[in-house]
Amino acid sequence: MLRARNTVSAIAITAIATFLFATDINAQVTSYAPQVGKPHPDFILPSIGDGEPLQLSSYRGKKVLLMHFASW
Amino acid sequence: MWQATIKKLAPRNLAVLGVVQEQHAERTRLYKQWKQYDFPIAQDPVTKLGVAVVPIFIAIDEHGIVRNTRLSPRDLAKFLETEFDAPDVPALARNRETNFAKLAAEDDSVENLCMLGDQEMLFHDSGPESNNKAIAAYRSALAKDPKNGMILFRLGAAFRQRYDEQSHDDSDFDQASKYWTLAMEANPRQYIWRRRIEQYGPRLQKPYPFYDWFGTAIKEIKERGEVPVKLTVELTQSELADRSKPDYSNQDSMPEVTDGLERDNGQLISIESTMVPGFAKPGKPATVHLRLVAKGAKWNNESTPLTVWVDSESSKLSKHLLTFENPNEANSNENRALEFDVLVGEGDAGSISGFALYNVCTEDGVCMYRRQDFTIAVPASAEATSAEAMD
Repeated sequence: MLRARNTVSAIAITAIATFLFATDINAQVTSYAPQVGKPHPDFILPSIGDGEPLQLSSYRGKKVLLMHFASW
Repeated sequence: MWQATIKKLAPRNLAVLGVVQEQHAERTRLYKQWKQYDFPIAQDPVTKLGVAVVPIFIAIDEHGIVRNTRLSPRDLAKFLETEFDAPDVPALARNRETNFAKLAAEDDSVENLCMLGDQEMLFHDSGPESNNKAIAAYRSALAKDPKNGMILFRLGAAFRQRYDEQSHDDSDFDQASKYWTLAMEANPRQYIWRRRIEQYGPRLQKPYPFYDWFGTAIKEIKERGEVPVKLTVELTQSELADRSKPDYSNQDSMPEVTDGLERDNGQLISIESTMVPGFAKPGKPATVHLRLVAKGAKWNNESTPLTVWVDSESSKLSKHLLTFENPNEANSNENRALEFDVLVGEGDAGSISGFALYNVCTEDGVCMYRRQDFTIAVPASAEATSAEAMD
């Protein structure tokens, strides 16, 4: 297997996805445009490690520094 | 400056979350190891979030509300000190349907088809089957919205992901390049898509070195006594910054005439080609990637090395003679990557013809010297080619 992707069981997917917010980014096919004063759309993406997927809403209750970057 | 600020302030109820725009996760894992980042990083290989530029630093309060979309290190302490009121936000939507295959079957909207494709790309690890499902879902979405750059880019990423599998179609990288090129033409201001093409494209068109940090990272990680993260997909030359100017007037000598040599028709070694960008424009360079895959034999490294000759009547080439240095072991079966740039002339984009000369040995120990002839199409500009007509 050459690629590095997260293996997530169907159970984990379901468990995670049931906590999506109404304003989720799951169906996003447009541009990223978070607005000050508005909720940040929730999202679930695979971790670059072997851990569980990362979901923004799981950090609710903490202040979050969200960094979008590239390694190239 | 960010790293020092985060280390200082993170204990103050701050969660740091990274989202990286990267097709190959292990490259970011190596970067993370090198930089000693201790915060979680998510990967968005399909620009699912729609991010068009990086870096972006967003401050989100404890209620999930965006407080700053251009956060600087100087702003972070103030953000942490500020108490934000709980706003009137939408309630959690629990038990939402997450069977995207079912959703897409009931309503094959672009959104549902993309969600199905994303799910297969990002979260299912059943290898080629997942890739095939993702490609099928994105294709269906594209049929409904043929010029949607988000779908075009995702489809390209899915093809590239399948290309990196042991089991792939010979044209997967070529398909990826073409869909990425169409995506970029649909939205020229989407810099993440542009970078994906530049990553594999002509060196002089790169705005900055892409992966030149690799050598330093590996050296410094080893000096710390650690084992660097191993790459599962090796870097190609085009992903490193070599600012040497291509010499399109080169006078490489063609290997001695080998017309009489017995031909391999691809059963021993298959030759795959990809042009980046996916469509040629007169006067604009493109990079041609060749990948030679040992299918029915192993490379014989105890004889003359792999040699490839390429030529074109309609285009100028940065190199005509390409060679691959033999590894140390007697036999090997690695994929071999070679690259050259092409400068397309006016008029017909035409094609590149060539042949490869190689020494291989079969499993039963029979070693042979073979020639394989090939032709590489140089497709013209994207306007003349619809996405649907590519396959």
